[in-house]
Parts: sequence; structure tokens; C-alpha cells
Amino acid sequence: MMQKMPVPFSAEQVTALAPDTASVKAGRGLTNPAKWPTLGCNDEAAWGECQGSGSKPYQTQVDFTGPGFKCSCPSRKFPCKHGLGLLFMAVDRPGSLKEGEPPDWVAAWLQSRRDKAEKKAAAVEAGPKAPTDPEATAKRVAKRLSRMREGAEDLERWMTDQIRHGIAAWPQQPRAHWQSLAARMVDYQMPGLEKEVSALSGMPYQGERWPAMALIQMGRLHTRLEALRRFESLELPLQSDLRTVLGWAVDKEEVATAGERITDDWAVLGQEFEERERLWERRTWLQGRQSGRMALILDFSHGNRAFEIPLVPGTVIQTELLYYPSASPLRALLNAPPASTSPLQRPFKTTPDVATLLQDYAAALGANPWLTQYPAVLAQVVPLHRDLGPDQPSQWLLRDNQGTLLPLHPFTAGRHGWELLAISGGHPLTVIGEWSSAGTLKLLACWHEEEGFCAFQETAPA
Amino acid sequence: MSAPFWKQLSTAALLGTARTPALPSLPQDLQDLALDESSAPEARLLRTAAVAGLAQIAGLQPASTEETLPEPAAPSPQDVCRDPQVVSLLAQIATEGPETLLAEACQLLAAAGQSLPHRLLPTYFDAAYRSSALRDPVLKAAGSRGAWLSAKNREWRFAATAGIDEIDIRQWEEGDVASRTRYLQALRQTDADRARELLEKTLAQESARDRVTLLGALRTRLSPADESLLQNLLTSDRSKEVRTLAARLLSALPQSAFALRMQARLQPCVTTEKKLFRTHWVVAPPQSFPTDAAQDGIEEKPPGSVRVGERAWWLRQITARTPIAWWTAHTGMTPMELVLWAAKTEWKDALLQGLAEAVTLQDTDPAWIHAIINADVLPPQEAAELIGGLDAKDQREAWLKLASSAPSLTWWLRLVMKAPITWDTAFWLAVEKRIIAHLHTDAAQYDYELRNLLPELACRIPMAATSSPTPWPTGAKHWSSFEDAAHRFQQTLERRSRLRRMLNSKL
Repeated sequence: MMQKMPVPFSAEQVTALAPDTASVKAGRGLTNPAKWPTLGCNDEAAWGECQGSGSKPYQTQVDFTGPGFKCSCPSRKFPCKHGLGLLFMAVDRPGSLKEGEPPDWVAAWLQSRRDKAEKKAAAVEAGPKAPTDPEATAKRVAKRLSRMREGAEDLERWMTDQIRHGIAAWPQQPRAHWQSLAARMVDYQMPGLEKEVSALSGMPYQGERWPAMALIQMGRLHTRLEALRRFESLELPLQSDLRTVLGWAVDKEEVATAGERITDDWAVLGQEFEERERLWERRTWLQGRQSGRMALILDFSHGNRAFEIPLVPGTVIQTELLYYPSASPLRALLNAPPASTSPLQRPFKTTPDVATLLQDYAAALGANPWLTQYPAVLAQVVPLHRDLGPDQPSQWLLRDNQGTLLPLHPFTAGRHGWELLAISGGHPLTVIGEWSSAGTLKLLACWHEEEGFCAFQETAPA
Repeated sequence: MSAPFWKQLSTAALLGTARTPALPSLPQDLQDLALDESSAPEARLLRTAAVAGLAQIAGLQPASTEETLPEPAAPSPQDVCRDPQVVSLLAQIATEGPETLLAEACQLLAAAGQSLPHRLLPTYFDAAYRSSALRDPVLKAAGSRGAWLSAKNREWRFAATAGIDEIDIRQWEEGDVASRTRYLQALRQTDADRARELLEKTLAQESARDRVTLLGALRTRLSPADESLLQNLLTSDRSKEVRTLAARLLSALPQSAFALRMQARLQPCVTTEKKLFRTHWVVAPPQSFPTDAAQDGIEEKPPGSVRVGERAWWLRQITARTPIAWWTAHTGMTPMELVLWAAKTEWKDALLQGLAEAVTLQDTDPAWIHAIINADVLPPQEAAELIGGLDAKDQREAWLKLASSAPSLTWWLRLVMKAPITWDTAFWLAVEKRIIAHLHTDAAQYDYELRNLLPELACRIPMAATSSPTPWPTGAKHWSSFEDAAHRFQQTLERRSRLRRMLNSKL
């Protein structure tokens, strides 16, 4: 009997949605029909009532589009274990969900989600609610610029001082040598520089090439300060790029009015998470079916890894993206929650070889010198593993059909290189990754003719 | 940018522009970008670093190779498991365990003629690297892709040498004492004399503790050819532990001079007596310490920790060192009869202890083990070690019997789970009954070990017994702290049965 499979996700993808490993385990623990007095689904959604510790069962529902989650339990994790458990059931045991019409509480929620999405799209369509006072805006911008320029002078003075007297003593300096300066960058309304300045404090531990690395880092800061000095003469896209790296947020309304909009089927190709002082950053890379464009969706979440709009690698979502103004546009916003979600069969567009990737990257860097991550969808590459001897980390490379070698980021390859090698069997496949200025490719996913799409992800520890 | 360029720029920055105003020069077209002659040397250095840094990442020249690609694997093996629900379950099992379930999943997969999904191979190989018990099952399910992959990873080399007994002289020449002992044991199987010669050559250079460990290897295929080495050690080794072990091994050789001397000492102690037309066997220890006994390792004074009389102490030691078969031959009684008889004698403790020690030290027949276990003379730790020598059915009985004297439920459970016996439904129900009884006690409250054992335990249960759910004592006082463990137990059982269902397995 052919089982109908309405769910556009795999169990692995559901796992990747979880905010932490404890939620995966708890969700898994709920994949038992006995825990669910009622369980149902249709093409759009799954729902169920889950017996918790209280007398009244929790009402749990999952909208496959997106996906979207809702549960009446008091958990602050998102999605909660009930939502994950329900989705696990729908994926791994579709037989235990009864197909049919959703009950009222589900129908009402689904309807409100659709309405909200439409309303939101309409609101953006209508443009900013109240026309802002251009004079007041100009005044605000001027005030912020002058505050930032004070900070720029402070930082420039510090760097000049360091270079004049030499940085030989850095390895002996306490962290305070950098920390208070870094903290002041926040006061000067340039929070983007805080991380960059603190990064200097770690340089003396980077091996014997540390002075060169410290110089490159200070050089990066120097160009930003230089550009800030000339802010008014920069083109709007470059202004926006500079604002991004300085941490001067370009708000959604500005994006909606000034940026490019593209409606397309977007393949969710890969995702990378980074945590810094309990702030989680999620970078999701999309690729448009018709437009062929790449996009980066950047989200932040404080405390745990729970993001408002779940984006699942290996799916295709239909939606409109708003690109941030940029000299090399990549970053974008979802204008509305996805209108449909389906499994991804294969990447829409690939780069034929390493040389082309590096050319594209250089061109992008030429337009926006502060670009840090760049997406790569490399076709026909073979993963290579080099054993450098016992107790040495292995070296991982991709080799294209020209014989050109691209190093993989040692950390991501350490975790997933073997999986990539196992999937490829030494044959060419498509690798999706994040190329960075460090000169290595972070492994995000791969696509193989027979094995299909495969994302490399890690669930956050609890 | 070249290395000398960065070196020069770094030197300038390390010393400070106040001391070294000279900067390395950039290529001409970059120099134009970087230089503003009017600015201060500090700004020029920063600008040079900025331009050079950017040029370096934008103009990265990747390495290339002319080498031919390594031999690829067979492109798409037919037997790879592709059912998404099975793949998902295999992935869950790999991350959540327990270990035994990984082994079982691999066995079921292999029995169904399928191999592990490619992506999961590294996870299963890593698990097999950590636990050697997983190696066989994982290799059986690894398929052709697994064979190809494992050859590339140093830690997964076990796959290449699987099936071949790893007997490599380097283990002997370079290994630590544990691997040297393993080497000796392996060599004893194929060439016992050669193994003894190696041991003999090395003994003089080893510490007392290592001598004991290495000498233990002689238990494997012990034969009269080993006697002279053992006799030498008994007479002249400096360490008492070595001498004791040599004596034990000699007692396991019934035809050795040592064993004959012991029999000669024991013989006069075990005699018949006529009483009212019937012949009784009686026992009496030697009246005085036998003159030559000390050189065979028999002690005259009991150690402070053993509270017995001297004569009882002698009897116990002589009994322990006499080949156990002497008893049945000499008295015509069966082991069970002998144990029952010994328990009625005046020297009950010395005799039973001695017999139990003899049974522990010598490879003996199941009848003796059965008799000794039934006599309840051995501490449970030692009894547990003997159970393996019994017949299958007797083993199950012996384990259940041992439960009552065991120091703790988990101590017992751990051993029972490891024991190489088949669990039938009756046996599981008996184990289950003990666990449930334990859960009603106060000791259960802090029994974290039991909680951790439950998932592994779920893998031991015969599938036939899983149709009726375990009647967990949900009303017990400390039940709430076990709920989670019971849930994992249930989940493991359920995964086992789902796996069978999905693979149409008859196992």
C-alpha cells in the first residue's frame, strides 16, 4: 500500500528545527500514539492532543507551510517538544495520524495564519504607515553620524598609538587592553565594531603569524573608519553595506522602500548557527528557482536557539524576499511567511568550478569590501581526505574537475567530512558551503544524484 | 601577498613606526590605492595592511593537483537501505543508543540483506571504534561503501583486519603489559610451547605485578609441559603472589609432582570409619604442620584476617591445592554428595572453603560448579565467575539463585546482562519480578545505576516476552524518579519491534 506522505520534511530536518538536543529527545519520547488521545492531519497541517501532566491535554498543531507551530503548553522553547513530537509522528509514522478535516481550533489557527500573512504583505505593499518627517530624519542621521565619528576618532587614535609604539608587547597585555575600547564602540553607537575590536585580543594566540593577522584586522577597521569619514559621498548601496558592518541597523521599512524585491521559489540550501554570549545568530542561504539569485537571511535569537520563522534546509519555500540595499546584494528579509513549502529535489543553479567561484567572490568583494561570507554551490567536486599522521587533524579538500583544490573549514569538515566522503564514495557531487575571507569553505550541505539533498547540521546542546 | 612582504610589515608593526618608518612596497596598482604620501606613517601602515589583506583574499590562488583521483567506491550499491523510515530509525538509534541496540540494528539489517545508509556509516564506525563489541555487527552491515570508507580512516582500520586474529609480534615487543598478555594468550592457542618460551625469557626483567599478569596467560591450554617452569617459579620466585599463582596452576595439573604431593598430604586426612555395619567417610586435618609443606606454598600461620585454627587452616590450603578430581576418585561420591557430606563434618568451613577455592582455581566440570554454587559457600563475586562453566539451563537457575545473595540489584543485573546465556520468557519474567520488587524499596530512590541500565536491559529481553507490557509499580513511593528511565526502556523495546516489522525480520 502506498502511504500518502503529506509532510514535506524528513525526520532529520525536524531534528534540525529543535532549539536543543533535550527538545529532540523529549520530542522523540512523544512519538508514541498512546500519548496522543487524538491525532489528525490533512495536506496542510497536523494536529493532536497530547496528554501532559495536567488534567487537560495540550493542543498541538503544525502548519506544514513554513513550518509553523502552535501549542497550548506553557513551554518557552520554540518549537516545544509537543510540536516536534507531532511532526516526528507525522514523518515517521504517518499511519498513526487520521486524515480528515481539521477541528475548529486548528482551522481557526490556520485561517488566522493565512490572514496575517496576507495582511502583512498588503501592509508592505502600501508602504510605510506614516510618511516620516524628512527633516527630523536628517537631523537624527546627522546626530548619529557625529556620535559615530567621535568613536571613529577614538579608535583611530588608539590604533595609531599602537602602530607608532609597536605591538610587540601585545602577548603580555591583559584583556582590558582591548575590552574597554571594544565596549566604548557600543557607546558610540557602532556595536558592529565591538566584536571586531575584541577579536584583536585573541590575535597573540594565533600562532607565529599573529602580527600579520592583527594588521589585517586593524586594516579592516581602518577602511571602515575611512569610509565613515566620507559617508555622505558614498552611494546609497555602499552606505548601507557600511551601516551593516558598523551595526547601524537598516530597518525593515527602509529595506522595503529602497531594496530590491523578488518573488520566487526559494531553495533553502544551508544553514549555519553561531553563538556569542548567549546570542544566537542564524544564517540561512537561499537560492531562487527563476531568478537564480542567492540570498542570506540573517536572524538572531537571545538565550536559546528558537527562531520566529523556522527555515528548513532541503525545502523550497514560495515567498517574496526584500533585499537590503547593497553594492553586492545578498542579505534579504522574508517579506511574508512562506506561502507554500515543498521538499527540495536539487539545487537550481550551480557554479561549475572553483575558479568561477573565486572570480565571483572577488567581484563581490570589489563591490563590497566588507563582505564576509559568500555562498558556494559547487558542482562536480570530489571530497578528498588527507591523513597527516597520527594525532594530527586531517586535511579536507574539494577537488573540481580541473584539479583545483579548495580547502574545507577544518571544524565543519572534522564533524561532517566523513559523512560527505561516505555519500560521495569518491565520485563527484555538488557541495553547498559558505566561503569566507579566511580562505576555507564551511560545509553546509551536499547534493548527490542518488542520495539526494543532505544538510549537515548540529543540534545545539541543551 | 608574499611571505617576506608580511614579515617586513609585521616587523614594522611589532617595533612601531616610531623606530622603523620603512614599509614594504605593494605592487604598483595596489600601491596607488594604498598610498597617500601626505598621511602619517601609522596611517600608511594601516592602509597598506588593509589593501594587502583585501588583495590577498580577493586574489587567492587555490592550489591544484595533477594527481589522479583515489580509486572511488562502487557507485551505487544495490543493497543500501533507502527506506526513509528505517533510515530515520537507524539515525535515532545511533545517537541515542543503547549500544546493544546499535549492534542489534546492524544484525537485523544484515539479515535482511541490506547495508547501512552511506551517511550513517561514520557514526556507526565511530561507535564500533569505541566499543569492540560493536565491530562485528557494524562490519556485517557496512556493505561495499563501508569497506571502501573504513580503509581511509586510521581509527576504523579494525574493519580491514576483521576476522583475522590480530597476532602480531609487535604487540609482544612494544605493547604494554595488557596487550603483551593478550598476545601470549592468542599465541597459546596456536603454539603453546613458543608462548611459554617467550614468557620464560621475559620474566626475569618484569616487576612482580607484571609477572603475575603475564603468568596468568598460561591458563590457556595449560599442559604438563608447563610444569617445570611453574615448579621453578614456586620454589624460587621472589614474589609471594607469583609463587601462589604458580601453585594454583600446578594444582590444575593432576599429574604434576606438586599435585601428587598434595594428594599424598590429603589422603591420610580423608579416611573411612566403620560404625554400626556402615562405612562413613571422616576427615581430620594433619596433627602437625607437614614438614615439606612450606616449599609448596602452604602457610603455617593463618593471616590475621582469617579467623581459624591452625589445623583448619592447613586443611583448607591442602584441599584448595589438590586436584578436585581426586575427591570423586578417592571417595566414589559425586560432587553434590561430597559437598553435602562436607557440610556435615566437624571441619565444615575449612573443607567447603578449600573445595570452593579448588573449583575456582581449576577448570572443573559443571557438576562441581553446580554443587559448590548450591552450597552457598562462595562470596557472590566468586560464584558469579563460576556460573559460565555450567550448562545453559543450570546457568539461568544459578543466576536467579545468586540474586538473593548479591550485594546489590544492579551488580547482579549487570552480570546477568553480560552473561552469554539466552534469555527465555520465563527468565525475563523472573528478572522483571526482582526489579519490580526493588522499585518498591527505599534503595530505589538513589539507584541511578539502575536507571541507566534499563535501556540496555530492554535489548536483552526475548521478543516473544515483549507482548505483555512490564507491570511497572506506578504507585511505588519513588516511582516518579524512575518514570523517565522506564520510558526509555519502553522506547527501546518499541524500537526493536518496529525495526523488525519494517525489515520483515524473522529474528
